[in-house]
Amino acid sequence: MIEKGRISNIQSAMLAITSLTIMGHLIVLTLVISHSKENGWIAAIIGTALGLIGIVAVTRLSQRFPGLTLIEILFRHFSWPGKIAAIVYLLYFFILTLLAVRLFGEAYKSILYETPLTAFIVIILLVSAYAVYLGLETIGRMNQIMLPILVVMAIVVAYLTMPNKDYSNLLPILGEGWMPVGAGALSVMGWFGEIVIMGMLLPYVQKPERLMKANLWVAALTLIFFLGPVTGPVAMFGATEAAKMTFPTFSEVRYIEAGEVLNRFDAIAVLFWTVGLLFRISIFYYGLCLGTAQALKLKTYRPLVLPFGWLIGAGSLWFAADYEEIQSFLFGVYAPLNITMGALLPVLLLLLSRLIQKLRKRKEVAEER
Amino acid sequence: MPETRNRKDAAPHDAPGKELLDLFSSTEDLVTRSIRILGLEGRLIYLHEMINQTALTNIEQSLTDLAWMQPNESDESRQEHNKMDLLKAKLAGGTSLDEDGVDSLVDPILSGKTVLLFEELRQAFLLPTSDAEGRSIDEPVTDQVVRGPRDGFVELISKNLMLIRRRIKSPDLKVEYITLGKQTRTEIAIVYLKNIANEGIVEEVRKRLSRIEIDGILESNYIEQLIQDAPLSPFPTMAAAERPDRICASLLEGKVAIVTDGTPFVLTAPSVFVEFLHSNEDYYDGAMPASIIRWIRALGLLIATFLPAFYVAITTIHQDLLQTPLLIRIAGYREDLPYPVLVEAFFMQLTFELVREAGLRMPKAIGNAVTIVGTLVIGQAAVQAGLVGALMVIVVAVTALTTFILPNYGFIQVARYTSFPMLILAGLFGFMGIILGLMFILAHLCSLRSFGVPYLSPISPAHKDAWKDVFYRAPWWRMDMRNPESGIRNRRRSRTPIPHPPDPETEGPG
Amino acid sequence: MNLLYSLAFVALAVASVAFQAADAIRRKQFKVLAAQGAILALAIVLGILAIYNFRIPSMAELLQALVPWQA
Repeated sequence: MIEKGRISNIQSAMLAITSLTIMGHLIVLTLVISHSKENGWIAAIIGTALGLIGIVAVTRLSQRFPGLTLIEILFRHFSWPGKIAAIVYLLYFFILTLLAVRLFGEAYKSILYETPLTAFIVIILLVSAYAVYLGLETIGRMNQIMLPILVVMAIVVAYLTMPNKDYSNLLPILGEGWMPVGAGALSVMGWFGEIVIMGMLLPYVQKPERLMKANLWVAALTLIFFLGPVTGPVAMFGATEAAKMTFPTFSEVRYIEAGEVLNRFDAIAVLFWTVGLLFRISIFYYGLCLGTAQALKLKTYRPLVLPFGWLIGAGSLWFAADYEEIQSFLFGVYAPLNITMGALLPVLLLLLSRLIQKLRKRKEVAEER
Repeated sequence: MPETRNRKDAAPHDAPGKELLDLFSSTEDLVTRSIRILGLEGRLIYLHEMINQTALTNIEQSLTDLAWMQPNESDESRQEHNKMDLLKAKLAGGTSLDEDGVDSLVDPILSGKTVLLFEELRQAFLLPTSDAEGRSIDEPVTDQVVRGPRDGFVELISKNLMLIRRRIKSPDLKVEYITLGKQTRTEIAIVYLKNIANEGIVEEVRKRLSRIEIDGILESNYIEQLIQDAPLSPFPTMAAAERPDRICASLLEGKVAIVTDGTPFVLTAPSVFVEFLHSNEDYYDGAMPASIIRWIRALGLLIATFLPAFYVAITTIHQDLLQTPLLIRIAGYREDLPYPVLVEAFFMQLTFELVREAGLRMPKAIGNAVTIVGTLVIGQAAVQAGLVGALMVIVVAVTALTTFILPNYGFIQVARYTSFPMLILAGLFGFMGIILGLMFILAHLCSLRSFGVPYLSPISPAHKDAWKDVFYRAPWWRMDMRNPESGIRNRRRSRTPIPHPPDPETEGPG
Repeated sequence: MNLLYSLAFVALAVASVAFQAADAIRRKQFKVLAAQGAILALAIVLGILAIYNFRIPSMAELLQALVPWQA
């Protein structure tokens, strides 16, 4: 295979957690709160349970074809429909990368509103491209160092915001019935669908047998990390207010005061977003480059890093005309897209591969007679 | 004995001697003398300034006093043969000109040995007359400690090896010699502990050294630059030290040392990031103070690199981070300044670097005075002239001071020079810029390897055992395992249990 | 002004890939070169469109058209 690196199980799990969590806390949060308001946490739990379908499917698929990434599996084992599916997946990775880069720009534009969007795109892509160029091992190691730091800071932040929160705002439970909860749950399930990008990384993990356990932990931890932000803003601002906010966690963090000197911990939010989005973008960017290289049967993915960098940069500008379009994209397309690519397709592939195996066995048995 | 300086019109010589002298032609410090030993005609050839005159005189004396004990032997050639054997026994071997050729005599002459040449018999002997003078062993200038040994390496490779061998008296300590440099023919020694070091790394060191093709090796840094893993990276991947105790500590960890003749700086490989934040003193002090100092050093590294950037970021972009009273005060410092904080910071940093660099080359007498003048007075004057804010001067001064916390000069350079791009990033993008810059550096560090060992181990490929030496310094009775990346053969360092006063019942006196 | 930006953009994009492209040519890896060229070309087209603010249906719009319902 093209990537010679190996990452440990822990590193791969951490990468998945970072990628998912940052998207969750930034974007999915708005979706869930606006759909389910104070019952967001119920939606989260249900959504995670549903998301497990996709996770299990992807892990199983990877274990069934050891050492091959998703794209390689599709190309080699599913003949021409597989090739088409692979291209669809590559487009999917591309779209998600564009989304992530654009979101980075938009998020920072809301703080540093005088800086042009392009500047943000350029700078995040520079660092990202460098990391992707250096390889999977490097990204895994970086994440291994940064994630614990982020988690610790998140806990500190959560603790500091406690006095402002009133958890009675989380009632009533299921006040408006199951519909809003369902919509939120679907968003969460869609969010988890993104874990399909791990299909590009799992073959390079050191201990494939333990992957199922690792990925289940990923789901569990992501859910736990998500419960905080899904309840926090509601507790602080009340359900209807929270639903209106574009970036609820951001607003929440603004209210922290630490003694006489520091307040408005926007800076902490900056840290989370930058690092989290950086890893997310790097992983999808990496998956895109690696997948394309494998589809074209190139020796290494490195020559593609720079060209794709430019493409992603230009593409993220083309992606939407303004934030309104992004909003409607998120509310309309994001969840179904992810559910399809991340849950439906992997399950389909898994069943198909089982079917093909059974047919083959029957053929062999028939030939023996 | 008549002494003949080598001149073109000297008496004609026989072939091998002439060959030898031709190689050294036009050099007036090569001396040739005839000598008569045991009735045989021989010649002494040496470089006048390289030899120890007393040693040569002593050897000459003992040789000419040799009496031949077998006058009865009639056969001439037999006689000569036996005399040769006697000389060989006395002078420990010898070079046969037919086998090894005249070229093998060149290096020894250059190193200060004297060649005793018997031309007709085609034999040559090397007399050990090298003058091993040089600087006396003293505490190294660049590496001073409060508690610890006070000897440092000197410029002679033999003395340096002696200092190492004195400390590690083990037959497992292996030394391999290599000569590098076409013109300088510098002697290099690879030193390692065979039962601890990773053979793969030793082999890699050998390979890389043998690939060096250069005219001259004047300092070990030449070697470092020619064999390092990432020549384009600002981060050092090999460590250099002037103290034998530091080198021996590294050897005991399984590292390979490279000793270079002509410089007191000995290289060690492989080297990882955390190593450059360590100082030997950590091990000579108690565990608690040493751990605290380690944390302070790490903090120092962060401050040295990021403080000016932070200041710029807070005052330019993230002003809402500070509460109003502090904000007003900071604004007050900059009241009349016509340009943005970024420019001010850049300007101050640059000035400081200039002053510092200039201070390095000033003669000692005025050096200190001028540096103090430079910083205090100029800084003060600049503030009063309204060119920079007072707070800025403080920030820059603190930054500069903290760089000296770092024990490794390479790291100091890295900190100083990355602070500039950080400034720019901070000025443009605020905290996000700083974080992205940090991530960029982190990516670079994560991908760096030193002779195969990942640069960020034992943090990144996490080896929990080795953490005892990284985040804090565990007391010696707890440091029982070596870093598996380099000391792979022999993991266990010590077995000492925790020290305790004698148990009164079982072990007490009386 | 836009023209200047566009030219600078194209120049920068090509220059940055130049080293790797030259390497690919030297090693006769034509597939690599083709891939690089194609991606870069696409990027340049999109970039110029962005600079000139051409109104083409954006990706978000395209995808939304694919979705049969509006959730």
